[in-house]
Order: sequence, then C-alpha cells, then structure tokens
Amino acid sequence: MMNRLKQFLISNSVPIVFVGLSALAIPISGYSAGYLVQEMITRLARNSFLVLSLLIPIMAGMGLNFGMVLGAMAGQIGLIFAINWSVVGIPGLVLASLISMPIAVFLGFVCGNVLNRAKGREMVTSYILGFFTNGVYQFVVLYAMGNILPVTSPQLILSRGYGIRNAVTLTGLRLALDRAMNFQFKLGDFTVNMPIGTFLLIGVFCLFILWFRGTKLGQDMRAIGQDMAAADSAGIAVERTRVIAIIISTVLAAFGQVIFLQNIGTMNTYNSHEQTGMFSIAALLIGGATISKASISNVFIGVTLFHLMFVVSPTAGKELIGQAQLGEYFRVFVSYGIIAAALVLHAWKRLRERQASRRGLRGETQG
Amino acid sequence: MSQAPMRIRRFIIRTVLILLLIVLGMAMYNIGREYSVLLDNGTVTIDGREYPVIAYGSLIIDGDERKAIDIWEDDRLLQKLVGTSHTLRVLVLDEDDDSAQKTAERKIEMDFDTREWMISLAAIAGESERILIPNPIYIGEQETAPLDDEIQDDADGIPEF
Repeated sequence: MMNRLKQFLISNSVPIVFVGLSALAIPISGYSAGYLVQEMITRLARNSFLVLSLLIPIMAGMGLNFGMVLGAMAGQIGLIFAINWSVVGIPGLVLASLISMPIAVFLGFVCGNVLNRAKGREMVTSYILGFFTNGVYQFVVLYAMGNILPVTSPQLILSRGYGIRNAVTLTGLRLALDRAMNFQFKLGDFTVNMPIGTFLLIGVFCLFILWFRGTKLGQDMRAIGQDMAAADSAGIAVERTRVIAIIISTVLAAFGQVIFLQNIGTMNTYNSHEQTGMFSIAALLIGGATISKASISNVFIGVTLFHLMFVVSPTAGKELIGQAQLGEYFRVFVSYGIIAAALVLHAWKRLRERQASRRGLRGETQG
Repeated sequence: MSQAPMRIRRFIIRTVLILLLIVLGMAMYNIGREYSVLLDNGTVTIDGREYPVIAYGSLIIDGDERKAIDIWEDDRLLQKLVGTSHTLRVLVLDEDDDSAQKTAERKIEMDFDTREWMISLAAIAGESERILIPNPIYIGEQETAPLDDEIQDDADGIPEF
C-alpha cells in the first residue's frame, strides 16, 4: 500500500507540485472562480490541439517534438494566404489549414528524415532544426512574399511593397471557430463562454488518437517506441514509420496553430510560432507526461495547470511583493525549468533502468 | 502476386484525395471570400435613362431583415459581402410612416472588379437591367482614366447581371 502510494507520488510529482502552487497562488491573486473558469476554458480551447499534436512522436519513441514549430510556421503561411485572398470565417480557417497541409507535410518529411540520421538525439536535433527553418521562414515571409509569391493585400504587405507586417490582425478570422457554436452559462456573477465548436474539434482529434493507436501503423509506432531494434527485427519499416509520425505531428501542429491564432486574433508574424513548441511541451510535461510516455489526460491536466499558473502568477507576484514582473519571471522560469527537469529525470530513469538490467544479468536482486 | 496493380490503385487513391483537397480549397475560397462593395444611392443615368435618387429607404442583404440598412439621399455605403452570390432588396419608404412605396429585389454575382464598379441602389429600385456604375475614386487613381463619355459609350465593357 505504502509502496503504491510512493509510486503514485513519484509518477505524478510534477502535477502535484503545480496543484499545490496553484492552491497557494489562487487565493493570493484574488481572482473569482468565474473568471478563472473562463480563462481555463479559453486557454484549453486555444492550446489543447497544439499539445495533442505532440503525442504521436512520443508514441513512436521520438521524444518531445520540438520540430512542431515547423508546423506552426506552415499554419501561419496558410493564414497569410487566407487573409491575402480575403477568405473569412470557418471557410477561411479551413482554407488556411488546407494551404498549410502540403507545407507541413514537406517540412515534416524533411524533419523526419533528418531525425532518422540523429537517432537518440531527436529532441535537440528537432530544436535546432526549428531555428534553421525559422531562418528559411523569415526569408520567405520577409522577402519572397510580395516579391516572388503573389501577396498583395495592403493589410499584410509592408509599405515598401514586399514582406509581411510584423503584426497582422486576423480580421474576419478572429474567433471564427470559437464563435461558431458558443454556449454560455452563469457562474456566480460571471457569464462563462464555452466554445463548443473548438472543443468538438479537439474531441475528434482525441478520438483520432485513440483510433490511431489501434491501427497497424499505430501499433508499429508503439513497437518502435518500446524497442527500435526489436521492431526492426520484426520487419517494421522503422525509418518510414518515424517519418510518418513526424509528418502527422507537423500537420496537426499546423492546424493547431491556426486554431490558436484564430483565438488570439492577431498574428505576430515573426514571433508567434517561436514559443509554441516550448509552451506546448512545458504544458504536456506539467500534466505528468514524460519523454517516453504521454496520454490524452496529460494534455488536459497540463494545459489547465500550466495556464492556471500563467493567469494567477503575475497577480500573485504583485500581491506578494508589489511587482507583477515576478509572476512573469516565474512563468518563464517554470516553462524552461520543467523541460530541463523532465530531461534530467528521463536521463536518470534510463540510467537506473540500465543499472537494473546489468544487475539482472549478473543475477543480483534489485534493490 | 504482382505489385503493379497495388501501386496503381494506391496512386489513384492518392491522386483522388489530393484532387478532393484542391476542390475543397476552391469551394472554401468561393464560400468564404469577402468582397468590399460600394453601394451608391445617387441619381444615375444608365443607357440614356435617369434613375432618381432614393430619398429614404431600406436595404436588406440576403433576406436578413434584422440587419436592414437605412438609406438616405446621396449615401454611399461600403458593405462587406461574404460569398459569390447575393440578393439585394431595396425598399423605397415613406419618410412619415415608414410604409414601403416600392420594393425591388436583385440577385448579384460577385464576378466584377469591386474596386472599379459600384452598385447603384437607385438603378435597383428603378429595375434597370444594368446596375453597375463606375467608381469615380478608382477612375481617379488610374493614370489614363477614361472620360465619362467614353464610359457611357463603352456599355459593352460593363458586366451584366
């Protein structure tokens, strides 16, 4: 009994710490329940799709896909074209997603092939690949659009005649999905808006993941995730399957970025995608996921806890020491810190597993 | 068993899927495209016939009466219309009791250059065959702007509904 409790506490140490921190920070911040519920619903709708896109590479044993920023860039390019052609509402979002799809497939294909040449170092490789692709993205957006690519809308193009503006207002696309099926309910004095349409889409995505796990491809990915050499011996096309995992993740990240930006309403052309990977990964890890194991529940728990800290920490910091900046530092510290902690924990666990297996080979009892 | 038929089948399925995505994209473009249209309520002469300004009226777009727009003399309205096909209903109203003196409805297709042409509400109310009139602002922007006479003469260049 005590062992099981200990095991539970160790496995869920990160979410437990965040629940504790939130329990302390919420009363200090002074926010009402209605406000916090509204914020959490909005942020769950905004971020869940992006975080869910990380699950498939983890299933295939490729760790946390920092390369999801490639998908985010593809999503932004799709949105730029949708705005340029003045396509608004849900059709505009669908069109942006359709445009982003081949770009994301291409980038995912490139990323997957690069990662196949860096087995065991996927995370750092995809992280650096994100920086490299960011350079290409900036070249396309800053120089090619308006010069080579036919982008003409004055809403997008800089006054010099080429290059996209730094901040683009998503007129006509803002909240198009969230407002498509909006449900309101009262919580105290607060009217809470529930974007049913967005949650339906997220629900479909969750069902897709559950279905996908049971397919031949999904089983292959799980086999590769558990033991790549054994999967290869069993006749599974390891490299091809890994590339497919990254392509699926990148395409879904592109859709996720479209959903994310329609909720925000403004696209920061040169920065919006940069933090996407970092914050999504941090949210997933806070939800109790590890580099080798993640579930749908980790996504929702993580997004809720991470964004609860996002909302309450600046005000709590201000109430505590009179400086809202403390909360800002805290949340950046948390984002990077949790990723570092997850990587250290993963390395530590692998070391322990190796030691245990060595002891097993020597015939020693595990202790 | 030969792999060739399997490859052909796979190629066909993939091609069909890609084509479906392209068709879906085109459909989304048509359904969701937003047009900024100028609606002009001024006295206008088309094909030698004068259509008088609407002193007071109402404009209903696509049958949405909740979003009816009041029209006053010499108004020029900028409307954003989503989609390629729309219905404009113009009601000429009595200023005293808001009763409709005349109602005219017109279906429009957005297959004209919305920067170059405006829609004349007076022409719709007068049930003219042509309802598009040149946008003077656009003509002013053109280096070789044609003269009014030339526009009147060049009736063939005006899109018809």
